[in-house]
Amino acid sequence: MVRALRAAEPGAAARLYDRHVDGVYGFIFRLLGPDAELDDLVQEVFAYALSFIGKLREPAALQSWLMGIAVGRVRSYIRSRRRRRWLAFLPTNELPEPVVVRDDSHAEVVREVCAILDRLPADERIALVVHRVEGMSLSESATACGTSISTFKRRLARGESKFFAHAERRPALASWLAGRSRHDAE
Amino acid sequence: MTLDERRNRLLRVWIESFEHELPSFDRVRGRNRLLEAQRSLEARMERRRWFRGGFFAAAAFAVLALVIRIAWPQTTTFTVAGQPGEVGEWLATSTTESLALDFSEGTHVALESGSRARVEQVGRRGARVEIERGAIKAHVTHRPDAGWRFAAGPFEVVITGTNLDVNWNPDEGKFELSVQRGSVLVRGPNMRSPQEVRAGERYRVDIKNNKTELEQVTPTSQDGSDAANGLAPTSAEPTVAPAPVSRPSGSENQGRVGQAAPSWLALERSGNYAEALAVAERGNISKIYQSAQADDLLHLAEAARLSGRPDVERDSLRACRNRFKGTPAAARAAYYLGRSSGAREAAQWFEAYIREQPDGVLAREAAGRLIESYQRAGNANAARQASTRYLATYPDGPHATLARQVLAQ
Repeated sequence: MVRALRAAEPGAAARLYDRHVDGVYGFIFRLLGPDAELDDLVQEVFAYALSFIGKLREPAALQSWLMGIAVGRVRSYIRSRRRRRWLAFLPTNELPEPVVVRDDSHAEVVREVCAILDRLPADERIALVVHRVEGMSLSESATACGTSISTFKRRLARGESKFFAHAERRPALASWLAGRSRHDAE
Repeated sequence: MTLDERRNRLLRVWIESFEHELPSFDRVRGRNRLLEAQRSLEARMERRRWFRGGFFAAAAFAVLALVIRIAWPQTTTFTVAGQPGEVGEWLATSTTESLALDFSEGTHVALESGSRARVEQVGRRGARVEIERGAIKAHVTHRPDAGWRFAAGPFEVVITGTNLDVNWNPDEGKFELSVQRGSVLVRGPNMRSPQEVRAGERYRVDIKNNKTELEQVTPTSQDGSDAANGLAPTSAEPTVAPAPVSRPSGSENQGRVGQAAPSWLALERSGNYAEALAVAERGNISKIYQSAQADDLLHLAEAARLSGRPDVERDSLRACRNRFKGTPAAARAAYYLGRSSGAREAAQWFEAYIREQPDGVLAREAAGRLIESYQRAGNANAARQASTRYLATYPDGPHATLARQVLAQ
């Protein structure tokens, strides 16, 4: 596929998209949560990949390369979103949610998790999601984040510590940390 | 349950909830959107490549234009009494006033009282000034590529850099030229070749009485530099008595000022070839061979040829070749030697000219005469080779027909 993409063969771009779009979309959703820009970010990832396919050194690493691109785009997006919020003089928790989430237990967990993640620095947030949620190894995670393993570990540790500390103070999540069952929480 | 277990449990709930809440995604729309954006991007890149190419082409053109603008000399402009002058406009002075013409490249021309003239043409290297009547004084800025001309009736003075006075009286048919610095060439009626007039010399022509005089009016330094710098006053008189000028060189040069009798060169220039040769021989002609300038030796050869003295002609030409090897004059001497030699020797001299001056003014004629020489000498093979070379270089030259005939034989 990489060879076909580099040769700009007809249909190669569509095949890349069809094969990897679900993974990229889910990955970005888990990094950001519900967000009106999800579709655009997915587009940006594939547009970048198609433009710079020549930079991919190892064709077998296509998927992790795409994830690395996604990490970069999401990181930029989070930072620009924060700048916009700061410039608008609006505290984060007063911003309207861009996407309406259904009001059930899953939705509540998602909403609470995202609220905590929004308080974390972008790098720590990404480290936490990439390793703990996506299940990437430390090495893969560090590569996707474009950093060394030791730096990644530090970010992950800081992110975890902050996340769980915040989670303790949020009833919807604290119950899970207190040892309650899912049934109890509902 | 340990803290880690509880945290892992929260993480599982987190993952499960996100999986449950993953929004539906319109894959077809997304794909079409991506492909459309990709096509648009490629078109934009293509336009950008064209734009970049166009930009570099425009930049290269601009640099080239700038270089040409800087390197290319500008057309000469001039002022008349401080006001912008107009090419072709006649300028006249009263009997009491003169008029100053200042040219942008530094040349200054003064139109003397009672004169009428105009700047006929201006170019990048100079101008052509036509004198209808009267006198001008000119200080022409010296430049290697200067192209200044002063036309006075049927005469034309060609200049590269000099101080001079030109006076033309059309009623009496009298032309007078004085040169204070540098040298000029004069063309005019009844002149076989341009007359050179050097610093300190005055050249007079009386058309009605068919008289020509070249005389020394001011002493010159030995290196030929001038006696006068800048414009001399209108009323300036020669510092020594006028004397006819000979054009020998070297030690004879010392005797130019105040020489009483006309020299062989002056006689040659005035068309008295036999008398010129007689004067040269009455003096020490060997000394002339040893010390005269290259052009003067060619003049002596010409006088000898026209006087029916091939021996002096050849000696003079050989002296020129021996003393001025590698110069255009030496090559010209070779051509003249070829012209006056038998067929075999002539071929050698014409070959010598072509070898020494392949782009010289006589190269085409030498190449043609070379064919004739080989043909007369009976060297058919060499004649064919010379013909082939001739046709390759001068397919429409005057000897082209002969060359084709030789090759057809």
